[in-house]
Amino acid sequence: MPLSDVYAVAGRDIVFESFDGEAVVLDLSNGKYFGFSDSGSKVWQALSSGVGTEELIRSAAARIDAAAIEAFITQLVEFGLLAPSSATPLPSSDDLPAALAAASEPLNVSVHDDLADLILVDPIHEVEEPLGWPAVKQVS
Amino acid sequence: MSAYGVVIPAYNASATIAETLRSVAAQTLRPELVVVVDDGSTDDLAAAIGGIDLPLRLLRQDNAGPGSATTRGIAALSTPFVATLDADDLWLPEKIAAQLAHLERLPGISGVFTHMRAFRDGEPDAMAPTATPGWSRSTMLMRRETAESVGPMVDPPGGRGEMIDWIARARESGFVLDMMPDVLALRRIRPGSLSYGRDAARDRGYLEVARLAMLRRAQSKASSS
Repeated sequence: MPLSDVYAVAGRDIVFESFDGEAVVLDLSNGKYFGFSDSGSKVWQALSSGVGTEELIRSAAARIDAAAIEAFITQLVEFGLLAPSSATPLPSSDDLPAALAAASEPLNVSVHDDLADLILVDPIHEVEEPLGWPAVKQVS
Repeated sequence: MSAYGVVIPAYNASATIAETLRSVAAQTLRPELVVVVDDGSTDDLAAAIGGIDLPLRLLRQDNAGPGSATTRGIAALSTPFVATLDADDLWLPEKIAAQLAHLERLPGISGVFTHMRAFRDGEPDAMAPTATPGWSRSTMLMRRETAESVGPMVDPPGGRGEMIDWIARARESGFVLDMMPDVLALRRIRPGSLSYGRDAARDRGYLEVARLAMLRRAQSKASSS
């Protein structure tokens, strides 16, 4: 799969947060959540905030080779977390190369579905009433 | 025997709690005690729960979240079974009897939930077309010792997801929780209720719950290796 110049979070069902530098991503449409290694967290943060792919590969060069980043991006796209974007790529923050150099774990994202049945039925999903709702009693 | 108590956390719920309590009073099996935990409400909850034929106890705490209030209420019960209920939802009359029969038939099951249907506030006939599995406070009936050994319900920041966290912890501890196919509870939908709608600040609660699940897994991996 050819890489896009820049990516964006794949939709409003994808929510994420950084906890002390560690990214956690949740797909509200299927209840799966994703955990990242330290380097993976930095790369997720850069990509999800619109940093350009080339810029990211350059920033990571001292620590991670381009092929590994490409494979990682492909995985994030396949998981439905990122989608190619037509936005103008943003420059990375000045401290991204240092943050990536300081990372001790290889690029990794893990997917978990142990909470999916619980998250999917949570009332959060009823913001839009399903089709045919409500079934109002008909006066005959 | 099958004596049960009920815990209802309540935050500014005076408009709905009387109807909720009446659905408890209408159960075919009467509860031994209903504990309403006022989670720092600013409305007149005491007035709203008066005049209902139930053995009621009202506890108060500073606002700390529905999980904290539920934990407080469970600790105040000594019945062998504990049911919980949100202060705006409703039970159908056979709910507790059906669940207790289920637990008595199956001693290896620690807790049992039911399906529920949504209805729109103020329009009791406006019912959602389909029922959903109610992995929620309003359908839960647990053996009390199980509830105690799972530990406190923890309210994530954003005020959402404490039941997901708690049920996940119960499962990880090896407790078996069943989901009955029967629709035995009704969930009130109205703009402004804690669980209505999507909101970025509240999604944070879910992310925190997911993070905690991963931390527990990492810890149990570390301690078993």
